[in-house]
Amino acid sequence: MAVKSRIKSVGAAQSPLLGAAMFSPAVLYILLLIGAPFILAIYYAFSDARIGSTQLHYVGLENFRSIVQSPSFQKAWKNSVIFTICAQIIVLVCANILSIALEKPFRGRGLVRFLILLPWVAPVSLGTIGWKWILDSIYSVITWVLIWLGFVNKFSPPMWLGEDKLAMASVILVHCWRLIPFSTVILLAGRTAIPREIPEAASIDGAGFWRTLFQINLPIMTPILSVAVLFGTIFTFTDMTVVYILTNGGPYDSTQTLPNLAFTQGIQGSDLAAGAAVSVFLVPVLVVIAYFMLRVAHRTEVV
Amino acid sequence: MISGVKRPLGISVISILVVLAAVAMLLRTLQVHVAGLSGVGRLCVVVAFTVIAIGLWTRHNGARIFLFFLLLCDALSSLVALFLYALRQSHYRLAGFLVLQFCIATLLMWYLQRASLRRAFGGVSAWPTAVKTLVLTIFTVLLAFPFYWMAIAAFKQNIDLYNAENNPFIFNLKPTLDHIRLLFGETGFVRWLANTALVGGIVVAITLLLAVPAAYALARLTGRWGERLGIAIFLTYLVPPTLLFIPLSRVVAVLGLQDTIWSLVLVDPSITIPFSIWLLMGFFKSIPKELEDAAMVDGLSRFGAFIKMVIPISVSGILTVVIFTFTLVTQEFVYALTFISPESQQMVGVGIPIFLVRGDVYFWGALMAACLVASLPIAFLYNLFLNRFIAGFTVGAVKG
Repeated sequence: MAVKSRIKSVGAAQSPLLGAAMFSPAVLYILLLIGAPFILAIYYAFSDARIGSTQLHYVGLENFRSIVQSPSFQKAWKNSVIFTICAQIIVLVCANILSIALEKPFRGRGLVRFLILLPWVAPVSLGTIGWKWILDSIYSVITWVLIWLGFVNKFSPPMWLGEDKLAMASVILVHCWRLIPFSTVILLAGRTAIPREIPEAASIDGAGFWRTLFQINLPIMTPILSVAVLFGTIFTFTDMTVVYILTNGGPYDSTQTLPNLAFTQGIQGSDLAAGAAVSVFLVPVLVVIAYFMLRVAHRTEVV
Repeated sequence: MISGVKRPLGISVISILVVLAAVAMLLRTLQVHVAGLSGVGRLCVVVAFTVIAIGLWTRHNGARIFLFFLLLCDALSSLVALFLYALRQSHYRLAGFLVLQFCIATLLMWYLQRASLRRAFGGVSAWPTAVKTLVLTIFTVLLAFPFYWMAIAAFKQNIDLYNAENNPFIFNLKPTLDHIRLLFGETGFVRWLANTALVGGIVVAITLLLAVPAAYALARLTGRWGERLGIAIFLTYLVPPTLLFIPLSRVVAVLGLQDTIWSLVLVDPSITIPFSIWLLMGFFKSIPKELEDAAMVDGLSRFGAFIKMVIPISVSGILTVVIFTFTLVTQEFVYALTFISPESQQMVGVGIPIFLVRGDVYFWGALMAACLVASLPIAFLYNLFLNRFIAGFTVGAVKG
C-alpha cells in the first residue's frame, strides 16, 4: 500500500539543493500572490483603506464594530451558513444515490456521465445565467408546468427570485445542481476502491441491512465522504458567483452572503476596509476545513 | 448471486396481482389529475403499463423494485393531490378515497419491503437495472435540463420565446438563427472568447513553468518534508478568491494593470498553481525511480534526467494540468469582475452575464446561445481528463 520504500539507489539520491532551486519560484509566487494578500486582507480589515486613496491608518476594531451591527451582515452570515449546510445535506444524499447507480459499467455510461457532469464543468456564471432564465418572473418554465398541472394560479405566479423564501430555495437549488456532479464523481472514486468481499462476507456472517450500513459501508466510505463534504463546504461557503448573478443578495438582503456582501461593500461601495472585514469572517471556516483536510491526508498517509 | 434464488409460485401470483393493483391505482391518480382521458387512451395506458410491468417482472427481481417505485409515486401523488386539490376544493369524498389509496400503497410497500428490498438496498448486491435506469434518468434530466433549455431558447424566435401562453418545451414557430447572428455580429462575444483564449494560454504557460519543476522537486528531491510542503501548497488552494480579491484589487491598481487582461495573467495562476503542483506530485511519484537511475547511469545530470526522461513520459499528466488550468481560467469569475470594467477587455465568464444585459433588458436568446457555445467545448475537454482531476481532489483518500 503506502509503505514508502526506504531503499535509496545511488542515482536517485535526494538532492535538496537542486530541489530547492526547482520549487522556490513556485513557492515564491504562492507567497507573493496568496500569502501576502491574505495577510493584507487581514490588515485592511483593521484599517481605513478606500478605493482612490493611498493612505492607510490603523483603526483597530472600528470596521468590525460597524459591520457586526449592520443588519446586512447579520443576514449574510446566517444565510451563508444556511446555504452551505442545506446544500451539503442535499448534495450528500443525491450524490450517494447517483454514485451507486453509476458504479457498474453499462452501455452509454460515458454519455450519461458527460450529461451529469455538465453543471460542474461548465463555467459557473454561465450555468447560473441559464437558471436565471428558468426562474424568470414571467417566462419561468417551472411556473408554466405548475400552472399546467393546476397547482398555481395563472394570475399570481410565484416570483422565484423575488420572494424571500423562494429566492433562498432557488440559491440552494442552484448550489446543489452545481455540486452534485462533483460529489458524485468523488464518491464514485471512493466506491470503486471498496473491496467487494467485505460487505459480502458480512452478509454471510449474518449482518443485517443497518448493521452492514453503519458498521461496514459507512466507516469505509468516511474519508471519501469527508473529502466530498469539505470541498463542497468550501465551494458553497466562499462562492459569490451564484448569488451575485441570481439575486445579487436581494430581495432586501434575504439571500445576501458573506462573499457577496464583501464585494458589494468593498468594491462597489469603494470601502475596501469594510469589504476586507467582511471577508475575514471566511477565515475561521477555512481554518476548520483545512484542519479536517489535513486529518484526512494524514490518516491515509499512515495506513 | 441473489437474483438466482428461485421464487416460489405462490409469491409470484400474489406479486403479479400487486403489480396490477398498483397500476390501477396509478391510473386512478393520473385520472384525478388530468381529469378525463378518453376511453381509448385509457386502454392504451393500461396496456402499456401492464406490458412494462410484466416485462420488467421477468427480469430477476428488478420488477419488485420497479413496483416499489410505482407504489412510492402513487403514495406521494395521492398525498399531493390530497393537500393541494381535494382539501382545498373541499372534495371530501375524493379526499377519503385518496387517504384510503395512500394507506393501501403504504401497506403494499411495507409488504414488499419485507421481501427483497432489504437486500437490494443493503449495499450488498448492486441495484437492479430497473432502479439504476430510473435513478439515472431522473438525475440526468434534472442536471442537464438547464443546458437543454439554453439550446432551445437559443434558436427560438422572440415572439415564441416571450409568450407565456405557449408550450415552452417545443418550437411553436420556426427555429431561427437571429440570436446567434446578434451574438456574433453585434456584441463583444468573439472578443471575449479571444481574450479568454489568450489569458488561458498565457496562464497555462506560467503554470507549467512554475508547477512542473516544483512538483518534481517536492515529489523526488526533497524527501519527507517535501511531502509536507506539498500538502501545505495544496491547502493554499483552499484559500478562495473571495478572500483575496480586495487586497489584490489594490495590488493590481498599484501595478497599473487595472482594466487590462494582464491583471488576470498575473493573478489567475494563484488559483491554478497549487492544485497543479498537487496533481503533478501524485503523477511523478507513480513514475518508477529506476528510469531516472538508468538515465543518470548513462551520464545525464539529475536535471538532465528530469528534462530528457521524466517530462517526455509525463506528457499525459502535463496535459491534464493544461486542461485543468484552462478550464479554471474560463470558470474564474470574481477576479475578472473585480479587476476589469471595460467591455472590450472582458472574459467570457463575466462578459456574458454582465454585458449582454442592456440596462434592464436581457437578450435571453443571445444569452443562452452564448452560454451554450462557451460551455460545451470546455465541458467536453474537462470530461476527457476527469479521472485524473478526481485523483487530485481525493487527497489520497482513495488508493489506486
